[in-house]
Amino acid sequence: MKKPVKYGFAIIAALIVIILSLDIQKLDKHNAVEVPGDFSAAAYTREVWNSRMPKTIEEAPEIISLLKMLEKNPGKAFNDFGRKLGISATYYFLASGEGIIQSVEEENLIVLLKDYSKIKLATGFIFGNTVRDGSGTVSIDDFVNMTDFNNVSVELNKMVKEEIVPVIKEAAQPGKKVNFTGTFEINEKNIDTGSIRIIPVSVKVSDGE
Amino acid sequence: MIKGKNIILFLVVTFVLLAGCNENNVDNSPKKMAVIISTLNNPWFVVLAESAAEKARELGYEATIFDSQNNSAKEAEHFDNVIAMGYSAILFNPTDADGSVLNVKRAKEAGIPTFCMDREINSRDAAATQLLSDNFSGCVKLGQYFVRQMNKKGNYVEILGLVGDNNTWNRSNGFHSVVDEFTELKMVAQQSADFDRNKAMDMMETIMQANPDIDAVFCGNDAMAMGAYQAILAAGKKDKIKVFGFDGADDAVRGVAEGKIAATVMQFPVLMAQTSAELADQYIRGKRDFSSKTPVEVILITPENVDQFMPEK
Repeated sequence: MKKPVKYGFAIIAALIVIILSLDIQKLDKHNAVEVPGDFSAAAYTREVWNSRMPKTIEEAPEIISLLKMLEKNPGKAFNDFGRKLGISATYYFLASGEGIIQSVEEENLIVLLKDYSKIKLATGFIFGNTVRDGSGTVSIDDFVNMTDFNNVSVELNKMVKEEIVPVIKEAAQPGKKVNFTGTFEINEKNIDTGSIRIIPVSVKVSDGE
Repeated sequence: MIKGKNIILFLVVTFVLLAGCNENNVDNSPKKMAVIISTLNNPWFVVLAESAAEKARELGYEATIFDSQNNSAKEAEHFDNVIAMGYSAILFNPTDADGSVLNVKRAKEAGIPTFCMDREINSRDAAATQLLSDNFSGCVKLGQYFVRQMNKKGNYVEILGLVGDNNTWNRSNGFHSVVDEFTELKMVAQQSADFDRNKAMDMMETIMQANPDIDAVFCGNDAMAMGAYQAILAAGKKDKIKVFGFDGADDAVRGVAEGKIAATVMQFPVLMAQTSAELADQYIRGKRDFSSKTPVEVILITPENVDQFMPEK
């Protein structure tokens, strides 16, 4: 074999070895370094509240038919409308409806729906992940750690307390009509549609008919 | 002839070099899973480790448990060994949410998937998935119960777990996301006892001497809750100070039934460990579409429901 040919083969072999040894990444991927503590839950949640929540509210199923489905065919209700996180017996739902305020309590409104069933509409003691997971506006896969993911729940609850609850408290009186969209949770091992407590994400109080 | 030999020699050398670059060497030896655990000096983690190893063996793997002794250097050594010894998957309980990320990434680069159990690492994609107790949600429930039991007022102490562990802060943050809204509930002391019963007992003794008017203590795990209860009992304050824990350990659940502990939150280490082994097996068989984190629901245990969760005698 001639020397130039031999060197040519050697260079090609060396290049193959070098190329296979390299891990080539896109610059934007390389720059996307995960920095815990770099996340602003307040800014993220504001974006969720302003951009994603309105669309979700528009698509919410009607509360009376959802509760009936939960009673008669819970499997279908969980499958079609329920959301759950990881390994859990708790399902979260979003629903909208209207009813007449029957009474105003310290932490809830008692609302009579058109089919004469009652629900609680929360105005106090609003905690946990019901809004985050019931609305389906936030994915766990977008977060570096559970702390950031959980802080979104805290901020969403804060939005409800600061932007929705004052509207209710100012206008709510027995006999008034309330249109609402909100989230609630149900344990699949203990389906009790008679004790539903809805955390509102949108609400309008008006004079009753 | 010489030319032919040169070409054969060249091809052999190139093949050997290329084979050396290939991480996925064919290996017909029995598959192995490594169970790397932060510490075996705590019965809770022993259950986690043994349940994971047992499930892996049931699934047909050789399983070995490595104890990191809460030491990140030891944990890194275990990863070195596991990578060198050609394990197929790692079932992992990390020592540190940030410090352990590099170990998991090294395993990933070596083609070994890691499945985190119970404790989290701060990464979206280093581990194949992470099965974690939903500590925050559990402590939101506990916080709500705490507020009701305290009638929204009083002085309390918080005893934290390991400060480098995300679970410590997810529990604390979940609790405070509720309790801090009630201005008449005042935290008079907050200290870390590293999830250790004896440390918590000594700490509670000291805190009670400095703060005689304490109504409750929230502890980041049941071992610390039982330690705090011992100190409270010795000080003759068992009827005044309510103790709240987390884990659902047997002695704490019995403590709830006997009125020693006000409430705890039950975790499911066996479920987490077994599911991690099953997911690792699925990964080895080709499945890849795992969620980055899989929270596992926890349950609030109070005197109202403790009879459903009493441990066998």
